[in-house]
Amino acid sequence: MSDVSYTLADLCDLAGVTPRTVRYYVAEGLLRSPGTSGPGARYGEGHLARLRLIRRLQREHLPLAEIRRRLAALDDDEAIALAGGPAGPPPDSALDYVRGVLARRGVAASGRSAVPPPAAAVALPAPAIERRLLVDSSGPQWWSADGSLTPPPERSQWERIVISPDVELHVRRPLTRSQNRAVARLLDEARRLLEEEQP
Amino acid sequence: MTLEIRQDRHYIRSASRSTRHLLVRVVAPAGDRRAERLPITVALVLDRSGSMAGLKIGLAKQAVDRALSAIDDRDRFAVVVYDDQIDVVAGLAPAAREAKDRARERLGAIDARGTTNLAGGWLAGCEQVALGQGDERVARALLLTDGLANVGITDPAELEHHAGELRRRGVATSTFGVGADFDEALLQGMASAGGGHFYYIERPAQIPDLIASELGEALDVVARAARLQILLPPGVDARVIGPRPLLRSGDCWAVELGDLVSRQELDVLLALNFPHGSDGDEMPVRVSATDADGALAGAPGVAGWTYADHRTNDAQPRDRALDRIVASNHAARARQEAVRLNRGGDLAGASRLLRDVARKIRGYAGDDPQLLELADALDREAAVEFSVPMAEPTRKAVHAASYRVLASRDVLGRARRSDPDDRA
Repeated sequence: MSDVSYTLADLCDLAGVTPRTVRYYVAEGLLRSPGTSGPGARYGEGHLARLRLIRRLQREHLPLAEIRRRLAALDDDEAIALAGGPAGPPPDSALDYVRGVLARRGVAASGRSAVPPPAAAVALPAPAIERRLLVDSSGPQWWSADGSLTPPPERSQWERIVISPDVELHVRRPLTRSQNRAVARLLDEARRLLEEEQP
Repeated sequence: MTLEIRQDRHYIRSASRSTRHLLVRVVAPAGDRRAERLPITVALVLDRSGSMAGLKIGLAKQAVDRALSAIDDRDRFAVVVYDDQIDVVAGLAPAAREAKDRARERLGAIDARGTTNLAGGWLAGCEQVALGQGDERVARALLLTDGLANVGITDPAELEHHAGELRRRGVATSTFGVGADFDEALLQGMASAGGGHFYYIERPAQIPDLIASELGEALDVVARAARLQILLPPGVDARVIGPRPLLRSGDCWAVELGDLVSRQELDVLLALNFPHGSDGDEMPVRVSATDADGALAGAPGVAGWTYADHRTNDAQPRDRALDRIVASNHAARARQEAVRLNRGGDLAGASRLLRDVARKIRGYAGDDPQLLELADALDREAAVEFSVPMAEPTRKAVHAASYRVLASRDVLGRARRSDPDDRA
């Protein structure tokens, strides 16, 4: 890893976040403290990589506590490698990948088809950043990357959207188009308000 | 193939970090019309939800009919329709006459109904394409919708993730959004991550032409899975200005370009952030292009910056043509974000964003009339169009126009070509 260092302003510009957000993440233990404060504070490539990973994992609706846990397990080189995206050939074919996703989500094509029914859930190698989504009609459940969750018996789905460590929204799918737009506006506004509240 | 490099100035600051832009223009070689084109495997995935009833579903069927006429038994195709259920109307098969006739007949019986399992329909189409994958094929799923993903996988980040993973595995995705109710950020995100293209279809009558145009490009590919490889000195960070995926392995960065067609002209704009250094030290950057067909092999391009003091940096001349490209790309990004803010009701935020970009452009415009005109336009939009809730078709149009700037597409959403008449 190089000895590159960034000022807070440079770091924010590269990562697309505000200084307030960086200070919040340091306070919450998602980023290491730069060691000094004020204009002399310097941040490294590891900080930049972690900021990018935090944003990516937030887009996947992971709670901050979970993001903190995952980042704590990475050294700087690993964080930089993950933040840059996957390198090298993928471990499986497109067909295996699609069938793995379809099987985990309990989706099957119906009607006339020349395609045999999807194979049983494929045990894919755990991705470096595993995804978790809430699929349930009776209460919270989780599925993990090996597809071990049984699809719920009823058709309704609840989506759990984490807005901040202490605030989340539960949405039952499907919604109408206008409801989806309203939820999107609600989430944007809630994140904006809660970000302003952060120290 | 040509690879043209344009760098933003030649000096960087010794005593502080510097941001400089690098424009890489890739021009794909001409396809040899006498040679065999690459066969394609294509899935046409159509939204049949209730809102597609009437003219839209009829024109979507016309688009499929026209697409089937354009391919032959070298190619493979599948047709998938979806609402909250997914139906494989025609499973993957060689595009022989009988298979095409059967597909047309079955599609003729399809009507609009139900809600929108966009993810399920799209993944079913990708599954069909994946069944027919071969080493020497262009593999692509074309997704047409007029609505949102409101059943099944609905998270845009997850759908983009899957599109990117499928692109890595050789299946590209292009998306077509019809009307005013679809999620343009979702469809653009899926297409960008998926190595394909996004189209805004303002009027249903455009459906057949735009799908035919995209399929025509798939039949005219000369360089599959094209990529720019960029070797940066240690400590230099890079961002792509635009929707293309950027990967990194140590000091080697890669920008995914998707499949390139005959004589396609593609601009990739990068923002490079340099650390401070010592006067006179040089920072070279090497750029090369690769693809699955060896069509882009050629000598790498080289750019380089030299550390100097503030006075030397401030006195250096600017490349105004490059400045204009940088400004128009930043303006396009800002307009897309301003559309999102406007839709969310943050009118002040949308206006503020556009004014900020206008101010930054004026900071380096000097007396360049085009740059100043762009800054004025952004200020006008901030004060007028974006200061009130925009009509949804207007938002869609602004978003799509910005996408075409960022993705080097022409005004009709097609690949830009060095020879505009070179179209299949």
